[in-house]
Amino acid sequence: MTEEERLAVELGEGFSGDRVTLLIDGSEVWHGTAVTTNYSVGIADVVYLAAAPRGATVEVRAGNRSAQLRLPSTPGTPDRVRFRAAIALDGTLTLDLVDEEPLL
Amino acid sequence: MTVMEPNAPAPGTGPVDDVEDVAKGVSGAGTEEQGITVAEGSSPAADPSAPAAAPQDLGGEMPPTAEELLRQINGLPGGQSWYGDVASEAGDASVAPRPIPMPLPFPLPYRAASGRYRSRPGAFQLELRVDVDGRRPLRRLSGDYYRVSGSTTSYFGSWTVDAVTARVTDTAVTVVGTARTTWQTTFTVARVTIPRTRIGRPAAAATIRWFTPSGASGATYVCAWESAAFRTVELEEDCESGVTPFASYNTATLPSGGPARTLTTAGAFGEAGIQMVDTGGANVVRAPSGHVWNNASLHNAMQRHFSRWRDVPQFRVWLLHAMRHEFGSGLRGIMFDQQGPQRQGCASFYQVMGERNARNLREQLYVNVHELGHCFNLFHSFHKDRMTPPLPNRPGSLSWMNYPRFYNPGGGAPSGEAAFWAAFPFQFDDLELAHLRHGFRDAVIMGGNAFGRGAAFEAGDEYGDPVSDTSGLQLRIAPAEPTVMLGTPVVLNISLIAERSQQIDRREQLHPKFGFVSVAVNRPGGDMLIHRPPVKYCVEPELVTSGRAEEQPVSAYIGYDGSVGHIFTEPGTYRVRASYTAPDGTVIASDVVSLRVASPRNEEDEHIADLMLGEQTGMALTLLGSDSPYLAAGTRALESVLSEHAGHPMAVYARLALGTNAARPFAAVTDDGDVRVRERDLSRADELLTEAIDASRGAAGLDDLTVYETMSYLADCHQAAEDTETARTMRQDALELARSKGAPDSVLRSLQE
Repeated sequence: MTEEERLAVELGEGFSGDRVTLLIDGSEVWHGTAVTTNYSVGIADVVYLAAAPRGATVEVRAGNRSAQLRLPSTPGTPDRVRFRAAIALDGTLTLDLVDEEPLL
Repeated sequence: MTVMEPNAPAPGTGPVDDVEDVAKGVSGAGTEEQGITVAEGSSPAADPSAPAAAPQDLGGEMPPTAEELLRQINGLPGGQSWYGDVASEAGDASVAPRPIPMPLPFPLPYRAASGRYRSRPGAFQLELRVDVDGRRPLRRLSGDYYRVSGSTTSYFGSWTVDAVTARVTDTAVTVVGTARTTWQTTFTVARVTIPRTRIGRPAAAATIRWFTPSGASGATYVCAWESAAFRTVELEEDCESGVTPFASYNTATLPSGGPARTLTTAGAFGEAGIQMVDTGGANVVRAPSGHVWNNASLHNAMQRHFSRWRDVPQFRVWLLHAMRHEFGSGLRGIMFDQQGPQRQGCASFYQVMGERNARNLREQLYVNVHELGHCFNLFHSFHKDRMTPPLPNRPGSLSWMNYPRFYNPGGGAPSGEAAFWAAFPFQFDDLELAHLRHGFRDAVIMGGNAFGRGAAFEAGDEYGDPVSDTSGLQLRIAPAEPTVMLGTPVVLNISLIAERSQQIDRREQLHPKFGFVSVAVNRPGGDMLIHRPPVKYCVEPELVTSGRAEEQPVSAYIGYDGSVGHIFTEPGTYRVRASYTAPDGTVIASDVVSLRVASPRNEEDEHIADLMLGEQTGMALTLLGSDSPYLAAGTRALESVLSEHAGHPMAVYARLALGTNAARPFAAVTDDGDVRVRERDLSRADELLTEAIDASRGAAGLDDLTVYETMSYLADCHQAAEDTETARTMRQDALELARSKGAPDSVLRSLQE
């Protein structure tokens, strides 16, 4: 399992009843409907994947928007890579590599 | 007796001229007389909060600016005052018989007037909140009405006065202001009178009397003092087995920005004026070792373990001290209740912060207060723009609702977690305090509005906070016309002034459509919205170096919004404020300006208002005309204004939009994918725009900046058509007109470029 990473994808700000699909290298691995951000934590949901290939492309689709990011090709320091997807006020969907930080 | 709305006098009753006489006549049970609901000035209800002494700064008279303003607005003669009753009372003091006071060993201070008062049940019962002295006075009034029918009482509506004028004499505190209400009423001016009593004496009742802005009397309520707290909330704290719940934290244990004291969760709310009362129903929630909560299981636990839970709006809230949540160890707390009536429960998670040390105790306190703040419908300081309606974010807020690591006061001041904790006084910011104390009931009460909805109504004058005073920048705004008829395109003049030479955004980019300046509008109905231009330019900032004390003005049509459509849709007074985000992140807020939208005076005005307020008309005006078939109705409306009401002042806007559109080519994509270009029609453009410009050379018509820009644009169009001579003449004309009107150098330079 050295060629794979544990991955968490936060669905963060800006989701409002969206249909969201998560893909790894083009294959759907998760989908949710009516995904809505809880602004008490700024998160709609956190999707945990037990194993994702290093260097794979992670894509998040929300409605007709899409954003993608490659998993690091070398092992990370934390035991789980964390991505955050968010929809800005202008409707742009972004996907970023983040650290797990306190949320409240 | 049927009373349709609580602020109006009962039908068939006349005004009562001496409210204090009514109040003085109260004894024993309350009476209802001449439409006046009168409650006894009874001794205070049992309350664990001791009455606070009035601070020194309330010992004198406050500047009566609001009174003067009200007088101007309402046309009251100079000698007539909303404080009439108090003056009368003071004036009569030398002749009226008075009881001989008991001698006191020394003069005790006066009781604070602030707190919660309640009238006896009549047709309506009023819960009145007075906030003029005591801890962090906000100079506001608010109240909730309850309709009483037989043995049932139901919520009717709320009102709030955002800025009061208070007068203090030896005998009474009188507070005056104009209210926003959740229902339609013409009785919007509130005058509250509270006789002053010293500590050790029973608190006096507060008498509130309503007036119309023109001075007609409405209902009067005499409300007995109930509590020093503005609201009382029942709090139940349950605990997952194995978790040691937070008890208290001494704020001096680690560096902080406030006075040292020992705070509990309830104590933090007590400082905000919110009394938290333990339900007495706390219990331990037994969960298997290693249990991971999710939002659904938390909601289920709330329904099962919260002894006061009912799925209705009520000032009762549940806090679970738990260990871990499925969102991960980073999650310290959550307000999980977002189904059905929301915001009734929250949880904090001790997985990471459970070990007892100073940092963790501080974090536990922070998380618990923070999550309960969400239950009161408070959003994060950096999520205010996600509320409905939105507010500007306040990353520099030293508040329970910020994230310490996101703290950024701007202006180059220290930011981040260490700076936050060093300055944090363990409190809510002023806007949040206003919401907690004076927000409309449904926007605050647990189980009321959905999370984030209606929580910005009390933004009032504080929009744009924080305001930097070290930036050397000023933002000034003024409506192009302070009073406009319904349907008139509302134009805001925005000026940025740099007191010293520094980098700022290019003048043209100060238009809200570029996103560096945002405009908030507080509408007569009480809602507030951030204007979202329907066309937004995504550009890289173009920074220029401003001259010292140089003014950079733009004018912006703000009448049509990308989210809600037309903004100024009803007669009344609108309050407008703008903010500018400087290149270094500093946020500069303008003053608040008022704009009055007047009702149509005749049928022609009404017809024009209908045309101008059409949905497509707003977009057509934003684009300054269009050939698009999707805006055909808007274009037709503008053409109707022009053809049917050519002599009406509003026709100048139709000429501007239709003329500007004629001046430029329009490319249309046909159904088969071809592009068909309608060439510019300079003849029609000249005709329409010249009429609009000539009608605006004096004080009437378009605002000056729009006139200069229109002249310049028309000149450019002639230049593009290789009519150089006309273009040169027009530019010269624009420059001379601007000079004659004293336009700032930055504008003259633009016209010369």
